Amino acid sequence: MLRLIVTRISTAAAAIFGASILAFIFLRVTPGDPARLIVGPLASAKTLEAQRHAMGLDQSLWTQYRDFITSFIHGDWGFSYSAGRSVAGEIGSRLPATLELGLYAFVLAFVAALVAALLVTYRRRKEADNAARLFAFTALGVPPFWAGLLLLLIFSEHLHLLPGPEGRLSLATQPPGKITGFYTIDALLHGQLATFADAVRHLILPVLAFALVPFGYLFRLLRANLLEVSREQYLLVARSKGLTEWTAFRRHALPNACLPALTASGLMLGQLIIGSVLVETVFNWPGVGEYVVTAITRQDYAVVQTFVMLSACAFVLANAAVDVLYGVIDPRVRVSAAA
Amino acid sequence: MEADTQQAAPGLRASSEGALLSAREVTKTFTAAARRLGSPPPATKAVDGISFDVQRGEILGVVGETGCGKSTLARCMTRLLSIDGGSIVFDGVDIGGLSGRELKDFRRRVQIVFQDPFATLDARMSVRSIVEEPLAIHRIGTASEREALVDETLALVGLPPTQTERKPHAFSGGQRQRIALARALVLKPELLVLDEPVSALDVSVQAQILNLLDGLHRQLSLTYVFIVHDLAVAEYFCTRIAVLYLGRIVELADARALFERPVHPYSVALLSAAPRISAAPRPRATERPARTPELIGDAPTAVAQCASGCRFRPRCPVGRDRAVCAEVEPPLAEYRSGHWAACHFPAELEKAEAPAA
Amino acid sequence: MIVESSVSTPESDDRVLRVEGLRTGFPTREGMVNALDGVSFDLARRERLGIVGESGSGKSSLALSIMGLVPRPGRVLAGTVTLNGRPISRFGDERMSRVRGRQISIVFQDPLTALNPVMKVGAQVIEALRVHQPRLGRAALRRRAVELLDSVGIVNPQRRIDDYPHQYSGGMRQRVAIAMALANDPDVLIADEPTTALDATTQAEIVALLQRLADEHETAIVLISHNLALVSEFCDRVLIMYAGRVVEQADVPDVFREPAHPYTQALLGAIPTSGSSREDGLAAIPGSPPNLLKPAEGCPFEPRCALGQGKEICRTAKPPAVPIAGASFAECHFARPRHGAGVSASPRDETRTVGS
Repeated sequence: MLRLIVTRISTAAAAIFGASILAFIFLRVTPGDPARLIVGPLASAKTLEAQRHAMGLDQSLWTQYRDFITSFIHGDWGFSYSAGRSVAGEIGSRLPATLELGLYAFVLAFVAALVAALLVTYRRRKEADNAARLFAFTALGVPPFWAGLLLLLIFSEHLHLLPGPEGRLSLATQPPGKITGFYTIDALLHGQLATFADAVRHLILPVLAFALVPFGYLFRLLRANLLEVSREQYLLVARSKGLTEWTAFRRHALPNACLPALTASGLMLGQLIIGSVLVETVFNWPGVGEYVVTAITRQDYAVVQTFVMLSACAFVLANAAVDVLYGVIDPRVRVSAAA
Repeated sequence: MEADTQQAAPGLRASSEGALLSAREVTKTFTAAARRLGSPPPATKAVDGISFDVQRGEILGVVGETGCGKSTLARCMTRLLSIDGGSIVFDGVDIGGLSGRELKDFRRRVQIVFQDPFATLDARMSVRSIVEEPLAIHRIGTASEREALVDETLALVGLPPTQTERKPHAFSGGQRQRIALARALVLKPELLVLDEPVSALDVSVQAQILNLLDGLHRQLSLTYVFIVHDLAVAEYFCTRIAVLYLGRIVELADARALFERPVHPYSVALLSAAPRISAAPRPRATERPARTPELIGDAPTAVAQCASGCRFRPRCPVGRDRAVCAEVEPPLAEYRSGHWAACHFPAELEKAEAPAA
Repeated sequence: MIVESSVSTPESDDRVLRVEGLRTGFPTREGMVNALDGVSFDLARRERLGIVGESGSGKSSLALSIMGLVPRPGRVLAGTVTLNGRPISRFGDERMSRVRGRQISIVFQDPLTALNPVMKVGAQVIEALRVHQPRLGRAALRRRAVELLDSVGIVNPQRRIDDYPHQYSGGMRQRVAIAMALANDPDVLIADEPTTALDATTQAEIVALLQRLADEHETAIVLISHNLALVSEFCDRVLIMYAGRVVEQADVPDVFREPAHPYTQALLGAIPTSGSSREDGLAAIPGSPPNLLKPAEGCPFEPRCALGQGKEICRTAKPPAVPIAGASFAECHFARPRHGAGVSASPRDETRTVGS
């Protein structure tokens, strides 16, 4: 078991290292002089030099990289001139928005996929099965921002049921006092039900848009796993012991079917935490994704660099965590990892 | 080989003249992935010093349980696996050193048929292509000549010529096994290694295939090495039988001799474990005493091997507590003429073993 | 066609299991596949009954049908199964689940897939106990589970109870399966090819185990196997199945000495027996297994029968169950009772055909 953890962490570290190199190099090769952008086209050569020195651009590449890594580890992620504050500060303040959106989307996708997969595998009905599969197939292929736009068009523009792209709350509503940063949870904790309702109304469409692709993927995966597991002999043995069909299914088939979905979920969770830049843009969601899009267009490269590193870390660590979790649940994995 | 002359001599007429294939001290080790950094990875000696001859025209049966090494041995004999020690000589030539053209010739003369006919036939190829493929690989004949050869071989194994464009899944288990046989025979080999060819088949189909194999054996003057776990089939079909246990031969004798008077305690146990049809009137099953098997304990895996002495000792009712069995590995020695056993106390169980009525 | 059981079956009033006219089918695109086409038999308390047949004979479907575990979309089409006087074939899944594992149990063929790989072995044994004895506390359950593992020959059960299935060998897993099946002292145990996937020596050990446990628990055993020799050693009575029907029922010594049905005779002729050798050849049964989609009008064995092939009566009329002796019968137009008038047609000599 220990061996499993150690191997996974070291692989993760190696991946992050690789990502850091990429992040570093990428920005050094893009056209445009970042120092020039900051000082403006009219600044003198001397000002430009000073700026370059301040940004450390006159140092050797290796020194720059070393500084980059050390400051990243220390949490000093540079200054974001498009935001007017430190990158760390800006990302920190925007992260809860992205996390709230991402986590709700993931939970919705997973639960919906599980329920749907159960419904079509436990009692097999051809029509329902085909309908669900078609829907999942489509969901998988629909770009989230397009889905977002479509949803806005229908539910906000035409039916006036839900708010438009105005962010997390209506303009008139005050955000609840910050405890977790999640408006829904904080509003509940403060007892502000109206604020809670408003936050939920604003979450519905972006969460739906964001959850479509994960739903499609998870549904197909869970359905295939459930079908496979329901054919397993040990399920029949469980029933022969006296368990009812549903109990046997719930206790023996379900966990084993969800296990492979765990790995997929890890990947997905990583992506969701990073945030969908386009969904956030469509809904004017003040999250990290939207911030990064702006930063890219404004060539605020400190942000982009940091974002790449953070994405790599989130992704890799989520995967490592899932692998270890898999080892906890499935004893056979521990054996092969140790071999 | 000097130290093991006792081992090498067996069975094996002192010289291998007339022997189509001779194995001497064959070893094959499989290494598992390293468990701990620094310590050596656990190695499994699937085949650990096997020596025997296969005489031209005979049917040599190989029996043993899971982990005895019979499948590994089959693959070594056909050079699907390379051996780690010892030698295998086919018609005077050591097969370990073969390559290129010579290896191809070897493959023409020695063929193998496996247990699961579905797994060994490419599900996407038609029967005709399956049987023709060996000819194409060895560049034998023109297209029309090959077609004729394929037809001839299919007729030989009793497959209707009209179905040759169909794929394997359209056929029953017995028919698929015939296809596998046809594929093996189309090159007109001399030696056929059969790895449990009838184990996956129903009784009635098994009979058909056994009859077929018998007919082919006579018709085409073949030699068989027949790996089987059903002892009744082994006794019925084979001329001589080798009993394997954890990678070594523990007994080697004519089929009749082995079944009438097994000498090694393991063979005795194996034979007594197999149920036999008895038509004699006897007390109701519920009143009959349960027949207790001779062996003690579960079969060890090949990895957990005893450091010294006879590898069967931990389960042997004869040798369990005997010092010589714990210290010295018994060599395969000739007990009676043509009957070899690797045991310090062969035939001690003979008195106890009373064949079922 | 039910043959009335006469007193020659011991404890015949004490029939723990009764199957009458059982028919099971699996709907497919091409039509209904009749896995069971009217099977009837009785099982007495503590009796050992063997069921022999090849692939397609319906023997496994029979086991599943009795247990109410026929996989969807297949289902029991007709007939009744009575266990201890109760008509279990009419029970819904809820009621039947209270019977399964408690009054009737089953052990399947492949031990390697019988256990949930991510659950500890002990937990699975305890599950078998807890389902029917919910009042037992955790400590009691664990103790009982250890006892069960010990009774089936698992060495060091206190430690091994917390192992996972992949740490057990095939033979050991089969022992666990038997332990789970006998955990609640059922009246009937169905063993569907319990030793087919195991080595010869392990096979013998498992069979000996079954014998011992059956005696201790006073459980009746139905042993399903394609291995005639095994059945001859273990069972008192045997049913020979073909194409979803029971074509012969007889006491074990009789059926091997004087099989009445041509299929049984052919089957016996196809097995290599001690003393015979290659030169004698095996009486292989020509043809292939029956098509269960289109059941034959007459006798399903007719196309392959050395005796009846081509005969008008065999092709057109379903053979009745002809009583041979006592409760034994054979479904053949040419079968005759053993005692009394006439000698049984002795088709035995005619069936020896050698050839591939």
